Amino acid sequence: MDKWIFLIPLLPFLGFLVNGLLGRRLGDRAVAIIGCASVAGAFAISVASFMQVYDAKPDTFLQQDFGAWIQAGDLSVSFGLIIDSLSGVMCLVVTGVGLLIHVYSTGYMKGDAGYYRFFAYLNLFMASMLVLVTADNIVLMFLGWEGVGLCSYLLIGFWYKGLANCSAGIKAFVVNRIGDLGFLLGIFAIWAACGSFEFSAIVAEAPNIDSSAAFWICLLLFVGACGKSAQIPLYVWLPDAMAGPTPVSALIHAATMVTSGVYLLARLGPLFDAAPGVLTIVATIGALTALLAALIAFSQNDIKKVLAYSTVSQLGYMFLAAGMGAYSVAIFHVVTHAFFKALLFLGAGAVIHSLHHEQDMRRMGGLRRRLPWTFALYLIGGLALSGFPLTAGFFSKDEILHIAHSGFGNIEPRSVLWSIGLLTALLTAFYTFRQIALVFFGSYRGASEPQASEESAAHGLELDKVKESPLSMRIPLIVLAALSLTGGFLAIPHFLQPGIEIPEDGKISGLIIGGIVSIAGIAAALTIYLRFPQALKGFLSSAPGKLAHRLSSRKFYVDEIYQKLIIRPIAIIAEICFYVVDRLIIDIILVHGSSFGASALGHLLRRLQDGRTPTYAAWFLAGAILVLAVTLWAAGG
Amino acid sequence: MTLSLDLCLYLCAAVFSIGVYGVLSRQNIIVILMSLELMLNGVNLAIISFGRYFITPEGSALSGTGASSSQIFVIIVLAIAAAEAAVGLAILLAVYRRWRSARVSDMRLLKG
Amino acid sequence: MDALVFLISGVLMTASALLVVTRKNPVYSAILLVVFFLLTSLNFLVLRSPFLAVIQVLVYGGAIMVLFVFVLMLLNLTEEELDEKVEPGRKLLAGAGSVLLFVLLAWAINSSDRIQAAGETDLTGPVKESVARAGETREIGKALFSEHILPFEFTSILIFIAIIGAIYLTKTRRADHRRTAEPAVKQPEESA
Repeated sequence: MDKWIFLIPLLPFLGFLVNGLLGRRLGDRAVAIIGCASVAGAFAISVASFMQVYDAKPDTFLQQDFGAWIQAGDLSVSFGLIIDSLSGVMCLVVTGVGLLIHVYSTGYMKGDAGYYRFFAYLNLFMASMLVLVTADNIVLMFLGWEGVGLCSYLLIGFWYKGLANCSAGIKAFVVNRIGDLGFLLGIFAIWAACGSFEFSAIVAEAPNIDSSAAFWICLLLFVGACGKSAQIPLYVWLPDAMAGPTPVSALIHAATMVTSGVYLLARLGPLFDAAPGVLTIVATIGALTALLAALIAFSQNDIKKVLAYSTVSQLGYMFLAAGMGAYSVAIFHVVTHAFFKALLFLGAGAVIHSLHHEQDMRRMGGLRRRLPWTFALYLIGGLALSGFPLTAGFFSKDEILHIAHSGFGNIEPRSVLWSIGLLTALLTAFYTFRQIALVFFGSYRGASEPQASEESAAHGLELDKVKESPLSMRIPLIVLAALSLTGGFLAIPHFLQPGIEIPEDGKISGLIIGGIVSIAGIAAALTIYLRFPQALKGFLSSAPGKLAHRLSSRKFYVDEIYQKLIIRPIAIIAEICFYVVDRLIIDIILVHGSSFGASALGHLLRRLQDGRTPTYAAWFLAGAILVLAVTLWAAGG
Repeated sequence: MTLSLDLCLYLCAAVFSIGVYGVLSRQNIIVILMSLELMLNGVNLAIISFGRYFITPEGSALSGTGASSSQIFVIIVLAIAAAEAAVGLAILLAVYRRWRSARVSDMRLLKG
Repeated sequence: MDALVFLISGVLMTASALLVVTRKNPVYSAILLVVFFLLTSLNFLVLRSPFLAVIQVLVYGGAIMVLFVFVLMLLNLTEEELDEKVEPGRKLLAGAGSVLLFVLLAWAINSSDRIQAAGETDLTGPVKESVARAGETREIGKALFSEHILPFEFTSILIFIAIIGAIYLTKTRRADHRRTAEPAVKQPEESA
């Protein structure tokens, strides 16, 4: 099988080429088939490769090297792909979830003018993501890393006619650049410290690296991971990224791309183990991000924004796990999160699709009768996200909380982070079911309420006109729902780290506490939103309630703070540069100045060329006198 | 009373400058051509003065036929002056026939 | 004696040159120019250049002057055409320029060490018999047809070209006949 792993990224790339170059002529049906088939092929090869890795003994891997890609002096970067247990799992998730989302997109994007463009971008994204995952060295990984960033930008701004979409795309791109700068510097530092880009070489070299060097390398890499995986302080782009089509949000901004930061940490785990200081930072930032995003998710009214902040929050959990050194647990959460968050996003997409692109939850409600399938599947996703007992999210999240509570390997228990995580779990369950209550329960508000949000495109759709989405959109949801229910029983941590020792003490009590917290959150949300909406309104109109709601709905003013502290000064500098350097120096002095000088000189010299012989004679005399005078002055001097 | 070289040269400079004045101040092309002849004569006289200066009582400072060099020079200048006058006056005739004017200011086509 | 002749002739030369460039009627200028040429020829004699003195009278005083007078008669400029209407500023500028030129030339002559060193030499003084003949026809002929044959031939080519050019320029074409017949184009044509 190791001869064929190059096809994993290549097939989607071919799909991108065909769809991108010929898609306009092929027609929507052919584009959809090519897009899905290429990903399906990659999925099949991934499965085959994975089975081979799975059957073999631990620490086996498939590798394929296509020789040097960049060669300069001592520096040599090979174009090598590797499938080991880690990248095998990631490949399965990326291609599997990717395939489902491709199928879903064929229904969701039907009739869109940019149909072929959408599938071309999506295929390019798959190719980049698979390069990122299967790369055997960090430079090739960076290629994929940048590729997915580009696709993210292209797909966020997919409906490029809306200014908000374009600026969201630019925001995502710019914020990612900040992270990428850290990543790039980290790569340079790795070269300086290890003299190699191969993951195997870096990992082998990791224990020998000077501790301060390891600290800086890991910190820089973590900055890159922060940008891509939307952690504090670089998380601000992800909620705005919801401007893209919903399948994009599901695929890129929930299931796959945003987890590549976690993947990077897991890939270079031994290197991070050598930098315990960075691990502390990672765990702390993860926990804080989880809490902050959960608090913001509380008051969002856009169905996708809630899920976006929820994604940021769940990514925080992953980084908390990674910060405890339990990379396999982090990847476990990546996998389960990919299932249920993709499910939620696609379910939200189905709701949006059924409501003709209405995204404001204040204009929904009571949809469970009209959309029974969507409701049931969304409920499963919500339960998994809330960590309801025996769902996928329950196991992976409680594993994270458990290791935070009990410690892992050499890492001491972090009780503070554990309590933050537990609080976040409660909040997660609450806001998830707040959303479900608002969307599916109560009475329908879409027809009556006045236009609540400027972004909403619908104009008061009657409830009886709301229809279920087509089969092509429902089947992926069903598959994902099944995975969300059963994914927690996969023993991914034990597969990725065969010798992993998760402390048994308090494991059962941890699970019980987690379950209780989750049920409590769900119950609280449903009770408050369905039974006592008046009490909620009363609370929100009181002073502390107002303040809390204001802080949450304004996202703790982080965007405003960034605007004031970072963007404004840069904009002012840019303005100064624009007016002084560009306008004044370049435009006025250099460009206009030279043209004015040339024309002024021309006007002056024109006098010499008036066509009258006497004038020429006079100038001739003047020149002669000048030459004579200069000669004499020079001789005399 | 002796005749020194610089006296001759002052005379040449004066004649030459007067020629320049004529060229610049006159409008009539014929007079301008005459002024040019004045300038050429000033130069000729200077050449002859220098040539005479090199013939000292002891003999010529210049060997062989060099003593006649100044004469040759002037002859060539003279030939060129004759050619110039002929062509100049021919041009004047052509111009006059075309524009009915011998005024140099009316010849204003010398520009790009 | 010779020096005195040179000086008087020089003063008269300057005066006639001034008159040449200032006379309004070009016929007077032409006559004064003949006077100037004759005086120059006299000075050539003083400077021991008898051949050139003769040539000066023949070529300048004869051929070239005949050409000038001939053209003058051919054009037969009217009183109005002779009025040059030169603005005073331009005359002033030309005067200032030429005076400045003369001053600079005089300064150059005055500041040249070699010319000043030659000041003691009397250009009218006696010379050796062998070189005294340098300005005579025989010596000039020898020099011209031996050492300076190449410039001489070039000069002949130049004169030949000048003859062709002059003939070409003055040749009357039919188009010009027609133009001259039309009074409308009598006025000087403005540049395009």
